[in-house]
Amino acid sequence: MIELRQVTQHYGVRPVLRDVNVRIEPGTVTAIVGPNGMGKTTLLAVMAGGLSPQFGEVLIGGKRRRSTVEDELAIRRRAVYLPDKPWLPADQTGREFLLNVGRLYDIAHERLFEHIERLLELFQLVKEGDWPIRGYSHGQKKKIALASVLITDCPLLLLDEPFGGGLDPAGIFALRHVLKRWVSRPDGQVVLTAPAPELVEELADRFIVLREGQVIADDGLDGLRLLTGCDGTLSEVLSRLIHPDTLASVERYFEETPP
Amino acid sequence: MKRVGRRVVRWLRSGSPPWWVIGIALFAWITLNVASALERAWLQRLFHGDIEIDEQLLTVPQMAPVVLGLCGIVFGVVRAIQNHPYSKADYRRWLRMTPWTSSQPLPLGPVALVPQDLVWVSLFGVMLWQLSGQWLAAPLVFLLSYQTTLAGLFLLTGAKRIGYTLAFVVASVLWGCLVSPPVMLALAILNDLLVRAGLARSLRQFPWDDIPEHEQLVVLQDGDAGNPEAFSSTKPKARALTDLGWPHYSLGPKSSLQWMSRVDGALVSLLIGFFTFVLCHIAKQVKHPVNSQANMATGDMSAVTLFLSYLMLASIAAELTESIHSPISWLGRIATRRLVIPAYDIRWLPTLSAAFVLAGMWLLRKALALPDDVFVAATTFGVTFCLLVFRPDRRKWRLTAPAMIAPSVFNKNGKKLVEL
Repeated sequence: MIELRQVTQHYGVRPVLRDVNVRIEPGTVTAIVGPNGMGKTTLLAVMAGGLSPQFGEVLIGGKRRRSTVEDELAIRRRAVYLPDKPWLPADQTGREFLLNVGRLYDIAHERLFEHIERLLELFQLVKEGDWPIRGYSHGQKKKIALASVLITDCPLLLLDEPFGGGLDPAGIFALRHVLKRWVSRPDGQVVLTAPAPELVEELADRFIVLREGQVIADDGLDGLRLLTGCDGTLSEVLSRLIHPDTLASVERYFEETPP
Repeated sequence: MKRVGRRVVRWLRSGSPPWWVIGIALFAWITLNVASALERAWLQRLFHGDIEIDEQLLTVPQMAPVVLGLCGIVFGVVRAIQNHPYSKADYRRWLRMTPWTSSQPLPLGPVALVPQDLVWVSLFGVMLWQLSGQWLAAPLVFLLSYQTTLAGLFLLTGAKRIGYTLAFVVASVLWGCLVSPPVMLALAILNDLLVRAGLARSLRQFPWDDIPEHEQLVVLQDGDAGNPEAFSSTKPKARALTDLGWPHYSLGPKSSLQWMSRVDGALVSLLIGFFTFVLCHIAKQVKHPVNSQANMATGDMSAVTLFLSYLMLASIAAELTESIHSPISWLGRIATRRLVIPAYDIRWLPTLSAAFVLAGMWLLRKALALPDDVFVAATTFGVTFCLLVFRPDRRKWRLTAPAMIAPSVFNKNGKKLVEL
């Protein structure tokens, strides 16, 4: 379980997150959604331990992040983070990279080798697995980065824009199914950010909607529909929540456009 | 006769320094001889050959011990590291894959001194004697630089006690050189027993993994791709976890990064202080052989201060290249009235305390009334002590300090990693 209590985060003067209180139960895919610059990536980085909030605390599995060496290492063994712009080792092959990440997480060798083969197959990188990563295309780098997260076998995945970065339709399809199945395992939990709601509408069980650093809604799609009184798609529901004036603006634009 | 000659050459080559060291020494000797002859000719011409030239007037023979002394230092350092597996990563990696044990001779040649070294040092002594009329400095310089380098290697290869003892003894011998060089040469030769004990201990600890086993990355060989059986611990493991990129290294579940222990930090700073004192004392005595109370030159004092300042700048630079940044900008700190974040800012304590020591010593210089060499040594000790001892526990700090963790500057710009 992830729990954020009164989290406030500044980089400079302007707070990026303001008094965020969230509790995410295991067994769910949770999507953090909202317009650009509203704190999605920051919220995920705070959960991942990459950022220490100025106020408030983050608890994962009942342990507070960055409180003691033992608790922090225990959390790191359970949770793995993929930023939107990871840095991959240029001269290692994809297979070596996955092998080394697996060793970092103490995965047994037999299981590791077998899992690597399945992941390379899943992301259509069997041939490319023996190439140095520097030779990969943008989308292939994204795939190997995603595979490096899955190889860890950590129950909690924190993924920043996993469907971006040039992932092809086959990759998106594969990832959606993997994540859906991931949360069915004991303690399995996925938290991800998505700039475009369509990508996560079917996948996520729950949506945390951010606006100007604050959580303005935190519910499943049905709950959000009830809240907004809109029966449309997630995109329409979010438009009402985040930009209530957007639809009216669009209508006004066309009304005022000369024929 | 030819066969004997060939045997001698082969014997000499089996314990010779690299060709470039011999080349530099020969080049320096020939150049000094040519310069000395030219200087004599020039002086003869200046005085129309009427007077006997006083040796004291010639500058080249006075320079010779310094130039050849530097060559001797290089020879000693190279002799210590050229066959030591710790100083050559490829050699070490290869050696760990062989059945070699410390009871056997090292395949590339011995680290301990052998009779051939006596020949080379004697040759070096002859060169020095021919130019300056003294030869004792040759074996002394060679032995002291060789032993100092080995003391450093012992500290890194599991023979710390002998390493520290050897380093302090070498500094003491160096100090005593001004009083009685022949006695000190005898002591330096006796030191070889300590060197041999240190070497035996150090080689027993082979392979001295500079990167702990669990922090090493594997490199797959051809044919290993899908075969866990083929993968074994004897495969080369050259790269460290730090090469795993962002964020797996910075946010992964292993973080055993250790900095020098506080005891080691204190001992190393004491050693640096002692060596500084000895070198300053020698420099002072060489410049003012009669007046033992003479001050050091202002330029020398400034050079030491500048060096210590650079040391502090290097410490700051090393901190800044780490992938752990302040959780909030300076503007943010001012706006939120949290100018100091103690749990994070403790990283600056070594540099700040060192700066205080440096400034404080200079301000109190007159009040302390210490001889210059003692003052410089005490300041150097104080600064290095602060930099090495007042550091937070790195592992704990990396895992628990309130911070912003990001790819390090090196990772961002280096060719090792590619950005998605």
